Amino acid sequence: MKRPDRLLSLILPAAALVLSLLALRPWARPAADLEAFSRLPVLQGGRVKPVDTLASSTLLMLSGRTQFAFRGRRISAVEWLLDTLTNPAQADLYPVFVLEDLELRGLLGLEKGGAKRLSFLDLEPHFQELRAQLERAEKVEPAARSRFQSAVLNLGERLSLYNSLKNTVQVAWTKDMPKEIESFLKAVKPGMAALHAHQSGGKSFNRKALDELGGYFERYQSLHQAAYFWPLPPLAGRQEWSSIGQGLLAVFQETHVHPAAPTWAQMSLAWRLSRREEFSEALLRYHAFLGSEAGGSLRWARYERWLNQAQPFYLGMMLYVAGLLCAFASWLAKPEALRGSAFRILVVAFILHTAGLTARMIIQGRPPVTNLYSSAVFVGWVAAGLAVLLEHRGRTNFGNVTAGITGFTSLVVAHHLANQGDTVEMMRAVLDSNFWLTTHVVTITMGYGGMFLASAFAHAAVLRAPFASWQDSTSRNLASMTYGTLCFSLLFSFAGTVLGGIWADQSWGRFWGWDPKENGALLIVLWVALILHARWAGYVRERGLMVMAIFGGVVTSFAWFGVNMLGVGLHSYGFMGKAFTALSAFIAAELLIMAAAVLPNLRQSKA
Amino acid sequence: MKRIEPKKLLASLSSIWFTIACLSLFIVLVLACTLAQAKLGIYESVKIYIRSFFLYADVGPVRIPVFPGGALVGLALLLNLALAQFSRLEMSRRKLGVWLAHLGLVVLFLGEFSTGLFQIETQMFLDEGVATAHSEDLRELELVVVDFGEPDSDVVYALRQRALIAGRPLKHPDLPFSVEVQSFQMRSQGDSEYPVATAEIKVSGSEGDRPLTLSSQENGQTLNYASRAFMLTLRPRRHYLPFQLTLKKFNRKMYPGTDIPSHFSSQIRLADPARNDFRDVLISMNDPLRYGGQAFYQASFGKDDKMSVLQVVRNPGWLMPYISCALVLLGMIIHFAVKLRPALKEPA
Repeated sequence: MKRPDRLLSLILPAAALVLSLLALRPWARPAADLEAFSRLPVLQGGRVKPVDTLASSTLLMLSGRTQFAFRGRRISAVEWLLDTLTNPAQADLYPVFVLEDLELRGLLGLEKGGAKRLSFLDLEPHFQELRAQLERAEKVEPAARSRFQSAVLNLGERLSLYNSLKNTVQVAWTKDMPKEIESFLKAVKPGMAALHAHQSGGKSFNRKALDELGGYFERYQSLHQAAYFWPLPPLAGRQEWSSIGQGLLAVFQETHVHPAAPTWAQMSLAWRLSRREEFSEALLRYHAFLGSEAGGSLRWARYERWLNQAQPFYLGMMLYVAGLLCAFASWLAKPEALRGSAFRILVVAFILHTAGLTARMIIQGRPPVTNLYSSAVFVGWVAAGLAVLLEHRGRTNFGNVTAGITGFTSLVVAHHLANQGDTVEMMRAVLDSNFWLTTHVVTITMGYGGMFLASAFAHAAVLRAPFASWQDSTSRNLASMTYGTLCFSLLFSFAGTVLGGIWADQSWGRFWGWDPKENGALLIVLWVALILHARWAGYVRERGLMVMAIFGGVVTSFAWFGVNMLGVGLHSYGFMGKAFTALSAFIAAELLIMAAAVLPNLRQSKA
Repeated sequence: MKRIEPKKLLASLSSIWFTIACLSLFIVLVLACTLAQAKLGIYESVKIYIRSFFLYADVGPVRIPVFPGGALVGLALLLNLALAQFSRLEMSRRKLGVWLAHLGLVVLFLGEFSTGLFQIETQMFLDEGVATAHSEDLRELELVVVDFGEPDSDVVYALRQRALIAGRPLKHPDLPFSVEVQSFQMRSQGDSEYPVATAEIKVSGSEGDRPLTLSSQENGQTLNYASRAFMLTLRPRRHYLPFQLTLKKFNRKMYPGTDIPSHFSSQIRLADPARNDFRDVLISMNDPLRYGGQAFYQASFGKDDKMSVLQVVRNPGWLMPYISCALVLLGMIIHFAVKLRPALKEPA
């Protein structure tokens, strides 16, 4: 390689990395107090997470975004969360309820082209109508619900989540929480005395004091029940987190409330009255308290918050695209230098992808695949990793192209799957086994990854076909890479499928249940086995292998997503509805490509 | 008419074409079975598409086979595999991987056939503190006559579901009366895989002519015959075990602040006088008890955690998939290593 070329192949990757880092806008950091607040650990959905994760995933569920504009100002998820927790008067104005279903919009009298997102106040006048529709929809079996009914129920769930949030730190519309706690504590002693007097059968007891305490008791019971998350960390020697309600009611067992409950109350009041200095001070005190009482959770939350900020998958996504562009460019000019640059960029992208994956595993304490979101991340990781490896060995540039495409696509798919809330979910009891998750789920997902990579190679070969022969060395090279990847995929799909059966045998006593997910995996195994047998017997050659490999991608996407949509059809709403459309479009496109790949054959054979 | 030459037949049955045809048919069946599950449920779909020799279509009153079923395709593949192995594939080191993988597949197929034929799945309902020595097959019923006449024990006479045919009187030498089934109806119930049944039973020589109506969803009917008390019940068929299990405590844990269960387990006392085996066992998710040729799995719970439900499976072939999995994986690894090594060694 000439010297300027060698320089180019170093400069390009460096430039790509710097540009993507700049795209994270490192200078646009939130205010110091908001930053400190977003690092606080809370318990929600069965795990400890930073407020940051909680705020973004919740806002994402309500509005499909992680921030929004309001009266010309950008409101971040954490700011929105603080307002919702402490200041309903403000929060009710924010347009955070996304309404896309046309029939539901019709019910509320909204124009087709009008605002997509409404505030709580916009929705309030329609509550009576909504409630009536909700009652009707609830009576219908889930499978039989119309799109409209699912949309109504979905909106109902979001409104109830929003209501939970308002009643987490304090009963909604509380004016002065610290004062309320004070008067509650004052009421405890006389109230308890009255209770004891009453219980011991005495007729003369202070009824007013007793009623007052009873009122508080009920108030905090319902606060506990409504709470969306539990912010109070376990005190030394304990295990359980508690809600604000529980923290206040602790006074009855331990003679004092949870020490962090008043601090939350102070933060709440200070934020509502926009006294940012007081808010910061309360936060500082709380951080100090956490440092001494719950240092572990604090560090944990800080780590996850850091990860949220670093966005390794987002960075990786941009670098995969950059690598892909470089790889394309290398076919136009400076093949050696640009191919090398592309390879280096993709290696960095893959390292970031790996880092993100590892960080998630550490947070969850689980193998990499636990839900649909993480499976997408992992499928891309396997495919891109294999492609990078093959590029390292073969230097055909096709490894670069396929690494870029599979890595980027899978991360985009994962990004869209993240809309359903926090992507680090807890596992149900049936799945609570790291050993089987690792052996079965991870193995089978590796099979998916291999299959998609094979399909990507096949796409490259088919797109190349009009300009080149199926028999030239590049074609044969592609065919052998596809073949190798298919072998990889068969090995892992089969192992994963059978190990799934063995897991089922271990857990509930039947080796093979023929359930949709198992069948999906079996379809992949059968299809790859069919391809390989056809190839071994010589019934198909390069072109046939490629067309069949593309269909392998279709089979895999069905096994991966399609079986989750059984019975979903066109009536579904929201995420599954969109996913169904996307999957159908993908399959249709693939079938067209396959047809196009077969056509030239007819022309040639006539000639 | 052309005579079919055995040699040619053998050649086509052992050909890769036949393999590919079988694989394609199997793919179609698995896909159909998967899609049908949305409407029919797993049990019915598997019965129609997989555990059958043919798929039928009703043409008027006649049922004609229109497509091979899973069992037939499975057998064909097995035959193809066996024939190909001995007629085409040479026995060489190069083919060792293929041999192993195919052998593993044979074991897998045989295992699935044995499961279809021999596996018995029942459920055991354990109430806290109550010693239980039977499990129930919810898919099959039995008609039971209980004789309360003996002083220290009740005598139970059970008739299997297949004996309950209208119009045929059933008599046991120790029973003073015979019973005759006048009608027996079974229907599936909503989404549940398990059927419910009603039967009208006529007891010979009983006072009055009114038959007793029994339902599998209700308790039985009592009957006084010759001043002895009897009870007739229609209930899930019981399988008796030669030992007893007693639920000591059912444990359930949730993730804090959610209603997602994180762990179930049952503490159980096992009492087997025949083998002089008395001990405590813990059955939890992913951790069954294997005892007396059966496996007991944590399946469900109820009655405010005072009851635990175990799935009881007797499957003599349960080890076959394990053996098969090991063989196929080993075979594939060897074969792909042999095949791919030259490709990987190719200079860049």
